[in-house]
Amino acid sequence: MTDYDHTRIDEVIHSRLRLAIMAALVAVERMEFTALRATVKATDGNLSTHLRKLEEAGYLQLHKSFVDRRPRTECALTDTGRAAFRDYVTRLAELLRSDPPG
Amino acid sequence: MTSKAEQDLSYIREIIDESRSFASFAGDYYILWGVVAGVALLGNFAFAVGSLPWPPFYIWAICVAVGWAGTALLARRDRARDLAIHPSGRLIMLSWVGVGIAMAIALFAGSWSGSIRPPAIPGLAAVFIGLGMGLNGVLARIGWLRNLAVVWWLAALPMLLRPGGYTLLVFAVLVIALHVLPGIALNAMARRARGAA
Repeated sequence: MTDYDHTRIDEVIHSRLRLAIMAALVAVERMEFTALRATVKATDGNLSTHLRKLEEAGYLQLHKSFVDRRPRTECALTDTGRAAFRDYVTRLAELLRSDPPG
Repeated sequence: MTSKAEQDLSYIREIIDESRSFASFAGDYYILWGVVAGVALLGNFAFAVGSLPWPPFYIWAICVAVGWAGTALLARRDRARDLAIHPSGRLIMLSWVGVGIAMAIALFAGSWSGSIRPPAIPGLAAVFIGLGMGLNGVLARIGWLRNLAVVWWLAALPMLLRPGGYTLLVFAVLVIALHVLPGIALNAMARRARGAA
């Protein structure tokens, strides 16, 4: 058994796809939408929905522009998003420490 | 619960590694500077063997100007098409600036004061270029680029131990070959990353 408190897990990040988005963006300063889509293996629509949720939480910013008359969307974590991701990973690590396997 | 946490942590590591595959690869910068520096060095060699009647300062001035103008154009292009910007990109640029400044101080001040003899300059420059390439390879996590540092250092040894008229020509050929070929390979990696997206 563990004394781990599941309510301390950030529910915004605690979805498989949003976790993948946060992990992909934490390693970079910014990433273009198509590269993020390939990294997290999502469809355009699904990715857009989850990006919006993270944006509403203040965890990421979307920058839209046009390059050679083509739309380009870049995604970047905010400082709040980076801090939230760090906390999330710390909580996971705490969980592993508090209830070692075996 | 712990097995879910373990899975999540390994998933996070996997995604972070995957996102690195979209790092910008500076292949065109390698090709550009390999060609301009190589041409300028061939000018030096031509002057040394008497085929060029005037000192090659003008060739150097033109080549360096072309190099910086090309760099500015490439940086502008990449800003618009890079798939991802990694913090390591900034470190790589700073490491090359540092290597360039160190090389300029050592070689210009050394040759001006006479503490470094002109025949030793290509060998010393090869040592500095090897350092820059090694740092680039480590920061970008590209093993073969890191290993090219060793090739530069091995090439520097005979140039420093037995400096002579041949060293300028060997150095010019190395500068062209060991920038253009890695540049082509880096561009191929960039194309694969863009194809994956």
